[in-house]
Amino acid sequence: MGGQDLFYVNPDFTDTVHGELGCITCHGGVNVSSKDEAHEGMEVYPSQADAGSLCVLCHTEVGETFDTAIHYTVLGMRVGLEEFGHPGATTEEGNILQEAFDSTCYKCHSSCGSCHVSRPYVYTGGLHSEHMFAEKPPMEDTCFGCHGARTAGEYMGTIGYARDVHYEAGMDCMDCHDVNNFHGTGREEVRKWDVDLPSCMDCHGNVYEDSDIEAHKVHSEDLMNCQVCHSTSNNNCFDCHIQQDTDGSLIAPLGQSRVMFKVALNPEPEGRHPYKYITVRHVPSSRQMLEGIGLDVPNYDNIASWKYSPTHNVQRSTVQNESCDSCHGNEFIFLRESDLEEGTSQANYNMVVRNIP
Amino acid sequence: MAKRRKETLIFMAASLAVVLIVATLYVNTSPVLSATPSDGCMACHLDADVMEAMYDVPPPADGPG
Repeated sequence: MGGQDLFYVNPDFTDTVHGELGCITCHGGVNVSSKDEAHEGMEVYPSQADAGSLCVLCHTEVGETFDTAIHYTVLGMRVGLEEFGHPGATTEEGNILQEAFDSTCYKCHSSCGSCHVSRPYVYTGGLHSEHMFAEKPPMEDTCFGCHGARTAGEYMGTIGYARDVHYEAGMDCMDCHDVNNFHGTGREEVRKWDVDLPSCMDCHGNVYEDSDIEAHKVHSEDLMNCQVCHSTSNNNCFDCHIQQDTDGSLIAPLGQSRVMFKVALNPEPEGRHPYKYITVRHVPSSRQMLEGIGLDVPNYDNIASWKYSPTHNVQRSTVQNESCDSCHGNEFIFLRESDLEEGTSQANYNMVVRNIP
Repeated sequence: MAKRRKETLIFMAASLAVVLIVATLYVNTSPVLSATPSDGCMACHLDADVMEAMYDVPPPADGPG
């Protein structure tokens, strides 16, 4: 990848509706050919401010929902971090956690342009389609840019051992995820589960009622999520923490990660996820994660660090669905106490499968 | 006479409706952003070789989440 892949603009762009506006209408700057002078006062990401208010001048419908969309607010990360015992801290001016959140987690928030025009700047930045606006953003350059270490990486097979069968069939994220998963619905989305997420049954129907497959008939709909039988190993991160870089800035370096497959007890079966058994992954948190900035995590033991994971590397045939005995009595696929890391959250013990089915 | 007056009224009302529809459509489709000359920017950004020479590119990451 070279500079051409980052900032070259396709001449055809100038004939499009957006191109006819001219660069300076959106980006500011000065209309001269000297680089430094031309870039004076320029806005690299013109759709970042106020939920894409520039774009919303024309795209009014999206504007009605995007400012509460979780992709824009990254409220899930903010609330998740504050729940460890620092309510309001990520928005409190001068609070070290606010600085830490803004310089790490908040960098993942998206704007209109970071999907429809460019790659996320936490990935490589630059233009993904030579500045041609993509009505449907290219998954490899956009979704993968933020979700590549886990969900999108597993889907595309860059993480773990197998690509998702849907990816192999040519499907991308947007084939399952409705546009409102990205643009929002107008409701405030605090967690990713607040979004109208797709269900396997949207396409496959109720396989527990309409299927000739014996395993579908003998298991009930609320016993486990589909991935318990139909996914493979996922990526688990263990020791994420915030620390000061050599220049004093706050960073969250990638910690230890392990590719593994675990099924756990669902600690809180509820409407959308009524299952007794769920596929899980360890999310990047640790008891020491805020030590580098002088904070502890008082609620650490109340929050499980193993979480429900609708793992995105679905397979028709897996090691655990080969036969009844591949799963039943197979203690290696279930979360056991010996799988819990030293100093683990007490809440994780509620998810341990002590009686292997 | 009354019939003619009624026809005139209908014609006027229909004409007014057409004018209102056209005006509404125009307001809804008229550009809210106007073009700004940017040939200085394009002199470089539309040239692949210039862009290739101008920027060093960082290696892509796996993505954080």
